[in-house]
This record gives sequence, C-alpha cells and structure tokens, in this order.
Amino acid sequence: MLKVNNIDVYYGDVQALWDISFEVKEGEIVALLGSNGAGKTTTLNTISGLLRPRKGNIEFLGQELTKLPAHKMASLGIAHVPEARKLFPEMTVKENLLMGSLMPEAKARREESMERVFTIFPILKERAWQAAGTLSGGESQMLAVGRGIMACPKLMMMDEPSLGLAPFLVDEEFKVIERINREGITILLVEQNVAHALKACTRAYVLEIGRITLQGKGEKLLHDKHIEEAYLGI
Amino acid sequence: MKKVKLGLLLGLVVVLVAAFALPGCAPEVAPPEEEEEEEVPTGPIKIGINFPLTGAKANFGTMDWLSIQLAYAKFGVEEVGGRPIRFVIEDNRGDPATAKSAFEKLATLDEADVVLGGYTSSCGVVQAAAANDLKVPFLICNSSKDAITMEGWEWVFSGARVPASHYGDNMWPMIDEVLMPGGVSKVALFYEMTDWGTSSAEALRANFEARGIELVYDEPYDSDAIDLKPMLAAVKAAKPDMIMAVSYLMDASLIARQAGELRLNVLCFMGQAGGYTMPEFVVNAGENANYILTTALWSPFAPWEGELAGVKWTNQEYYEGYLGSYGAEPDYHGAQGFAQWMICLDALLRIDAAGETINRETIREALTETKLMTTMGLIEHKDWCDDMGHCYTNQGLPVTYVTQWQNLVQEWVWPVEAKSADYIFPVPKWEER
Amino acid sequence: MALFGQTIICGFLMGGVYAVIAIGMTLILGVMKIINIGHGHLMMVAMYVCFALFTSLGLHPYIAMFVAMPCLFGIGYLLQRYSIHRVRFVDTILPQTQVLLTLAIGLVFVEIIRVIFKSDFRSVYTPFSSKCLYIGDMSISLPQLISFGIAMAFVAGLHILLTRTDFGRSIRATAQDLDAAKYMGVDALRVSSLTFGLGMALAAAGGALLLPIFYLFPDIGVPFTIKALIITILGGAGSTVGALSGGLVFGMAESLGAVYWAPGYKDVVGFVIFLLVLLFMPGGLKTVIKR
Repeated sequence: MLKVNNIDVYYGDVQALWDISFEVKEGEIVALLGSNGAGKTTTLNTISGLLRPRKGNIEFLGQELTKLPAHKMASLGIAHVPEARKLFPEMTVKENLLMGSLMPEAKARREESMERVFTIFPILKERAWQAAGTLSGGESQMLAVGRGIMACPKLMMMDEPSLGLAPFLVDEEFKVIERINREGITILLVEQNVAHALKACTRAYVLEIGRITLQGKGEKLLHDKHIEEAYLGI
Repeated sequence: MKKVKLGLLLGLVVVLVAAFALPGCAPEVAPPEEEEEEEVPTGPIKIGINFPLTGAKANFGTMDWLSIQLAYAKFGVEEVGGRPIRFVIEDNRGDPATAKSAFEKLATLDEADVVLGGYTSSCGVVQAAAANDLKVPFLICNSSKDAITMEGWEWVFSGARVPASHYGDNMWPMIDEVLMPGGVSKVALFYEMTDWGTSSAEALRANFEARGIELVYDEPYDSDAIDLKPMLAAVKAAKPDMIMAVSYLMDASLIARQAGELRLNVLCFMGQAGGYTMPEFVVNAGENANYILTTALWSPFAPWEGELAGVKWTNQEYYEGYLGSYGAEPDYHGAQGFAQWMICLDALLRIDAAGETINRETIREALTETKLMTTMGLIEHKDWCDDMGHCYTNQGLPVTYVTQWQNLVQEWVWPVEAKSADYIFPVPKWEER
Repeated sequence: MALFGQTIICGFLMGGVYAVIAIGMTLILGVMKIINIGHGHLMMVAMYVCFALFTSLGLHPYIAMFVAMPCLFGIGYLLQRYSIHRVRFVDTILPQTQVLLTLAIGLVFVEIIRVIFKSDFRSVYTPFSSKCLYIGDMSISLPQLISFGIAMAFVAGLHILLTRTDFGRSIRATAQDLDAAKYMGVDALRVSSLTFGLGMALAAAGGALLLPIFYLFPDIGVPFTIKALIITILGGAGSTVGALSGGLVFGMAESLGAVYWAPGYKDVVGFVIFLLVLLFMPGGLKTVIKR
C-alpha cells in the first residue's frame, strides 16, 4: 500500500534521514520504532508532504507522493494523527471532528463516522461542545485519533499516540489502535514505547540516527537481543 | 538658458585670450566687455512656484497656481526690462519638509528671483523661514498662521493673505450692531486643532470676552473625526445663543449636517471662513447649509477694479474667467493667487520703470512699497501692530466680509455696502425649516 | 441625561460600522499572521467604487456595496495569491516583509485613485442622509441606524460562515494551527487568499456604510487602518465576537471621550485603549468573553 524507497531528507543542509526504505501492506499495523531524535517524525512529515526528500520516492497505492502538496494527502486517503495532537484549541470537540472529514468521501459519511468515533470514545460525546483546548491529555489524544477516523482513511499514520499518557491509558490506546485496524484501517505507527508497539504490530522497523537498522515481525523483534538491551532495558 | 551661459563664457574666454595676445589693445577692449557682463541680464526673470500640486492638499494648491496663470495671461506681460518671465515649478505635495527643500532648490540651484508659495500654514512657515535665511523675496498666497509675518523677516511678504486672527475683522461690527442687540450673550466656540484653528480661536476668544459675551463651550476638535455628534451634543447641552465655529471643508459639512440632525437650535451659527465659505460646502452639507453665517475673505461681488500694466481688470471678471477656463468656481484661495501675481508683477514693473536691474534685492525693496488694488482689495505691505499685541512685518490687510447661505446660495450680507442680500437673523429653528 | 443618552447612541452606531471594518483585519491577522496596513486604503478604493456608481448610475451606496464587495474580494484574493504570499519566500533583510508589502500596495492604490478622482473631497449626499428619528431630545440618524443594521447582519453572517460551514471552519483551523489544517487536507494558500478577499470585502462593506454619513478623499484610509488595528488588538486576533465587542467599546469610548473629556483628543482615547490592552489584557476582549 505505502512504499518508501531509499529516501534522503535534509533540514536545510543537515541530513536527517539516510536511505530509508520500508513498506506498509494493506491491513497491517507497521511500527516505526526508535528513540527520541531518530528521525521517526521526520519520516512521517516527509510522507505527509511537509518535507521533501532529496533522493528516493514514496508511493501510495501506486501513486507518486513526493510531488504532491501536503493538503492533497488527505484526499488520497492518508490521515495523519500528529505528534502533540495538534488539535484546533479554540474549536469545539465536534468542530475538530468535522475538520477531520473535509474530503468529499469522508464528508458523505460524516454522520456515520461521528457515531463511530463516539462509540469508540464515549467521553468525546459528553465533551462535544467543549473547546478542544480545555480537554485533558487523554481526551486530547482520543480527539486526535477520532479526528483521524473521521477522514475514513485507508492509511492512518499515528505519531507517538501514547506520549504523555498515564500507564492505564496507554493500554487503552493500544486497544483502540488494534480495534481501528480490525475495522479496516491500515496503520503506520511511530512509537517510543517499544514494548507496547511490538506487541501490537504486525511488522516493525527500527530507526537509529536516521537509518533503518532492524526490521522484522513484531513478535520476533520483541525477543531480539539488541532491542532488549537498547529499548526494553532487560 | 544654458546657451546664454555658454555664450557668455566663450565671450569671456575670447576676451581673456585677446587680453594676453594683444597687450596693446587690451585696455580698450576689456572695459566695455566687463561693463556688458554686469549690464547684460543673466537670462530670464525666474519666478519660483512652490505649491502642493499633487497629494492631499492639491485642490487648493492647484487653484492657487491656476489663478496665478490666469493673472499672467490676463495682464499679458511676458517680459520685463527685456528679460522674459519664466516660472520654475516645484510641487511640495503639501509636506512642510518637501516645501522647505523645494524652496532651497529654487533659491540655490534655480536661482529664482522671487518665490510664490504659501499654501497651508505649515508649509508657509518653513518657506518663510527659508526665504529669510537664503535672502530670497517670498510672497505668501494663503498661509494664515499669524506668526509667519510676526518674526520681523524682511524677505517675507504677506501678499493678499490674511492673518488668521483677522479673518473675522468685519464680523465684529455685525456682532455689535446686529447680533448682540438681537439677544446673543452666550457663545459656544469650537475650532479644529490646527495652527489656523487655534490662532483664530485665540483672537475670537479675546474679542468675545472684551464684549462681555460668555463662552459656554470652548474646545478644539479633531478635524478628521468621523462623528462630530458627540461634540455637538455637548454644545447643545451648554445652551448657547450663538455658535462660532472654525472648520475646514469636510468637517464644516459634517458639522452642518449633524447640527441639523441634533436640532441644535441657536440664534445664529457663525463660521470662520475656511470650509464654510467654499462652494463644496453647500454640495456636501445640502440644505443644512442654509442660514449659516460665515466670515469671508473674498466676495465675487466686491467692487474691486483697477488697471495694471495698461490692462483694466475687475474682481467679477476674475471670478468669471476662472469659472470659464476651469469649469469650477474659485474661492478666496484663488483670488489670493490672482492677487499674488498682480503684486509680483507690479513690483517688477516698478523696478523696471525706475530703470533699475531686476534682482532679489530690488524686488525686496519694491515689495516693501507695494500699494496695489487687487482682487482682495487694497494691499499695502506695512509694519503694524494690532490691539492683541501682534506686530506684523510687510503685512497687508484685505477687507473681510460676512456671508450667509440662503436657499443654497452664498449671499454677501455684511458690510451692508457690499451686500448681495439682507441678512436673516435670528435664524429659524431646524424643526420649522 | 439627554446628553449621555445621545453620546451612547452615537458611539454605539459608529462602533457597529467600525466593527465591520475591523473584522476583516482581525480575520487576516488570524489566518495570515500579518497586520494588513493597507486595510484602510483598500476600504477607500471600495468607497470610490461606490461613489463612482452613485455619480454615474445613481446607485445608493447600500446597493453599490454589492458591487464593491465582489470587486474588493477579487482584489484581495489576487493580491494574497500572487503577491503577498510569494514574498514569504523572498530573502530580505527587512523584517515583516509581508506587512510592508501591504502598506506599499495600499499606497499604490491611493495614488491610482488620486490620478483618477483627484484629491478633491467627495461625498454622497442625498436628502435621506440627514433623516433622523427623535426620542425626546435625542436624535438617531436614520442612515447610521441602517448602516448599523447592515453591519450587524454582516457580522452575524460572517459568524455563521465561520462556525457552521466547512469553509469557515477551515479558516479558523488554519488560523489556529497551520500544519494541522494541512493534515486535514486544507489548502492553506487557497484559504488564505479567500480570507484576504473576504477581509477586503468586509472592509468594502464598512466603507460603503460610511459613505452616506461621511465623506471621501484618497487619503481617508490611514485613520481607519489605525482604528481597525486598535479594535483588533482590543478584541483579540481572529475573533468575530471580539471584533464586534471591540468595535462597540471603541466607538463608545471615542464618543464618551469627545463629550466628557475633549473632542480634540479622540485619537488619544484610542491610543490609551491600545496601550492599556497591550499591557494588561494582551489577549484582548476575546479572552475575557471566553472565560
């Protein structure tokens, strides 16, 4: 579904990614793991079109992405649930959700999607008329994911969905991710929380200072020696 | 111009070479050549023009300049003493800093013999100061700030301008003889916050107080204000018998309209020249202009006439000439411009008649002796002091008038000798119009 | 009492028209993060459009407004899309190049208008201009009342647009978080161009509403840019409710200042508000209203 082929990305003159290649197949949950500053968010922003690769290309459902402006990604069926949520703080919860469904296909299914989001996250229904800026951390994260669901995407890219959440909420969060995936959305997940991510994902790639150093099935990597030492602290 | 200079230079070089090459002949050749250098005028007589011809102040700056050109054409004098008259035009955009640098350019680079300028008080002030520094005669057109001719500057001449504190000179006899006996004892005074407004108000205040008239409201206002009703509501609450207003054009129109809206009833509403006399006033104020009295610096009906450079002229003729040539009515600004050229031309002709060379110094001397009938009445440059303790140098004093808008026409009602209609006082209430 | 009542009426009616002018500026500031210094100048252009339609076809400004608004919308849209937006990518030593550009554009328009219409003062005076309603000793100017009504209709319309439509929500979203709006598929350039156009159309409406009660000359824009800026700061960037309340407060303050302080210092009243808000209420009225 998504193919990233040998991309190099720079911030000005500083290279951030070296020859990154990976693939996400339909129906998978693919995790992109790594510590802070490894280049995970940079990778997502490049797919989203906010950054441009100097070398290599990105294909989504056979279409070349690297030439398209950022706002076209949504219409192709890519939803980006960004790091730090990036909600619209002065808009209500409901308005934030509506903002998720601007594209014609999503707009046609707006009511239905909204019901779906409220079923997954009942608390959002209670808070529907509250400004997004007044939500708690957990609620904000739910809203960010909910807004992604509103887009009826084929692929959802989630950037650090568990960041800043209390431990019991992290478990909830991963359940939600798996649920969304079961309902038919392919997921590209960027995480620092390696243990949870590896349990949930189909396959994973490990990024270290801008390069992919490891890849494989989630379960298998969970028992990888390097992973154990570097990320799981065993 | 350049060719003349080049010719002169070549001539001098030839003389010089000749002086060395032919030592025997030199004493005979040189003296007449040298004499000619002094005698031969240095090209045309240059008249500097320093007005706002573009920008926000261009409407009256242009009226001034068009009137000067009208006068130039009317009297038909194109050269004096064998030297052609040439205008050097500088557009100062109504900006004092530009007006000053334009003046300096005219004085130094263009070597103007005399400069005509002085529209907007702010520009007139800097032009006059520059004139005195650079020793170039400067004739004022409209600038009305009192102080311009109060500095003792010998190179600055009032022309037909009226010091702001004398705009109302002829209003006082009317107040004494008509308005006060008719019941005016409380006056509301408001004036725009400019040089002209404040110096006018100062004189008005003193004169009202000298008559024992109470000033129940006395405030400057911001002439750019969009809504003057709050101020007028406060005026209304002060219950005056008479309103005395110093305003420019559009604020005058707004005030007239909004006074009507508020039904601000008084025995009479007197404007101090400025906006209230202008043809555009009635266009913008509509029937609200009716019954408003205003002091005026000029009247197209004033019986001024005379002869200059052998050409007979009348005041009425200027009015018709301007209207015919430019399709718009002139007001006092234009009449002052027309008079400005008359005064300048008169000085040049007198110098020539006396057989003297025309230069800055002789022009200055001639202007100190100006005594000329113009479209603004008799202008006599004199040094004098008024009863407010203002002492002026080279300042004339045109006659002023009082007019009243009646049926959307401006009628001259005072002095009675120059009237076009009888005054209406007290004026009808707004509700009854 | 009549004086106080009259003062309040004047301030309130004027404030409504100020609000429409300022709301355009607040929208542009919200979405594009720049202060449109050319705001008043472009409003002036709209006023001349109305004036020309009045003199040539006899259209009252209330009708001519519906010609002037699309004109200014178009001008605003094209300006942002093909001029202001592009400057973002130009390397320059000047700070705030886009702001300076709006100023330059405004000045160009002033000179164009001056060439066409000269510096003369103009006004649209009809007998209707002076019609009033009287309540006791107080008068309410009918054209001002109508202008106020139309102004409120525009404010309400804009509020509905911003809160009830996808396009309006996209404008607000872009103002609140540009990157997130892009993730949602919002074409930021299109939104900012349309917003600039919308802001200009609202300024045009404000200008048209002023025309029957005020007058016109090419340099009329500057004081209105300043007033709009003060109201924007007072109300808080990007907020219709803030701009509306800011406009009303500002109009009232001017009016009260002229009556109970000094009519010569109307501008000072504005600047005092400007300073006080910056110092003590940096978010503007919008923060107070929200809480």
